[in-house]
Amino acid sequence: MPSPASDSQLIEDYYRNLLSNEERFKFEKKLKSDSDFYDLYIKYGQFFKLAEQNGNKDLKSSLQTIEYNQTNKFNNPSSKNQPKTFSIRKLIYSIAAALILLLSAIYLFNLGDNTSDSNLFAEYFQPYPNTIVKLERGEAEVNELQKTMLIYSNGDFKQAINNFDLILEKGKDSDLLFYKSVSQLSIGKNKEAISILEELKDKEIPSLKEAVNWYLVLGYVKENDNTKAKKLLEEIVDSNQTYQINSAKELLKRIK
Amino acid sequence: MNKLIPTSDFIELVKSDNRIALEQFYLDQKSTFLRWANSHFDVDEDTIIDVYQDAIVTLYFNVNEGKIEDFRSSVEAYLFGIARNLLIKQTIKNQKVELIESNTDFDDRNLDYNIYERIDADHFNFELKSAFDKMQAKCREIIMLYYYNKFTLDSIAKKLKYNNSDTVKARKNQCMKKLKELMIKKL
Repeated sequence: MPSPASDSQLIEDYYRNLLSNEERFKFEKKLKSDSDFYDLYIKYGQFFKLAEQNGNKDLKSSLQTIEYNQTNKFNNPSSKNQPKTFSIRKLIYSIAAALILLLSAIYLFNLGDNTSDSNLFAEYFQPYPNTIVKLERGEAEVNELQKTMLIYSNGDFKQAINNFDLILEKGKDSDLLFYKSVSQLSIGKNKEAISILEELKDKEIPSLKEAVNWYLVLGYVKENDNTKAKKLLEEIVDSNQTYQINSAKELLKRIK
Repeated sequence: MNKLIPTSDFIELVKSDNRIALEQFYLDQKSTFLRWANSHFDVDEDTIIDVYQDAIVTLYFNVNEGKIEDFRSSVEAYLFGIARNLLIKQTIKNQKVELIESNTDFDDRNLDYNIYERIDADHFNFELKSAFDKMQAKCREIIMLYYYNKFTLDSIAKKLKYNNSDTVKARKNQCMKKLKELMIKKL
């Protein structure tokens, strides 16, 4: 009787297209006659599917980051070579960004907190765009997550945090935790945001890693923790990170 | 005029998972694609960019899976062919856009277009994903290179600077064992 280890190897080779025609024929025959082998084959199938989803999502996410960075370049008046584009999504980003600046200004004014680090935060901080759900115009039914991301995109971060908490009660989700932390940073709940971002950083989730690093830097800046901010900025600059790399280089020079 | 990439270079780019070169390819083709899509389809620019990204992911995935081993024409023609089909799917879904022209000479019978439709996960898959996310970054990297990029153990050893393929194999098995343990805790 073959050992489970060799069964696993055989199944992996099948999914990786490494079997010869003859081996493939024997494999398919075994699938029909051995139910344990078949169960293991199904479980591996799920696993390959997960790897496929993760890989494709990760790739799509890097392409979206390039696009987002390009759009930011266009929004910068010094860059005049980008094609002019206009869309509802970009309009929502712009409104959200404007709201953030306004909220930051009100927050700073009310607290009389006029330190240079808070100014630096306001200068560099923009809410991370919604990349996890599609918000389609004219859609009849909107689910809880879509509704929450719409609230987030509209800049109502207090309400967004409440909604994120309700969804997160059903199960932990790294993407939602990340958006919750960005919302917390937006309304000055810095310590809570840093705590989530540090936890996410430890997990090193490929699709979130670069954004987590950047917002964690901003959290440290907001908390006047220049030592940690500087250390993380150096880590970003020395890595292959592309997201906000130019801002990171610039901020590193400006931090005392 | 955009730079055309030789087909063998593109296949090598995918097989070695060279993301920097892929990003360059994405940027090189983008403006030509936007012009072409705008003149053939009546859809907004956000949708066009979204479809362009999906087409790149679809092309990458299918080359990675060995479903495309040789391009009949150019890589770019394939990419536009995939995008065209995705745009047609989108227009049928929206039922509001008229296709102005349809001509392409690429054969897509073997291509897998359903990679996004499979993203909705069932309970097992959800638990599997949570367990996977909890693993150490190095384990995830090895697993992705082996199961997604289909790298050989030797290639992984070279890429991640392990002594040899046996070390990678042992590490991969440890990682899979850990994943199973995490799953058992959840289920």
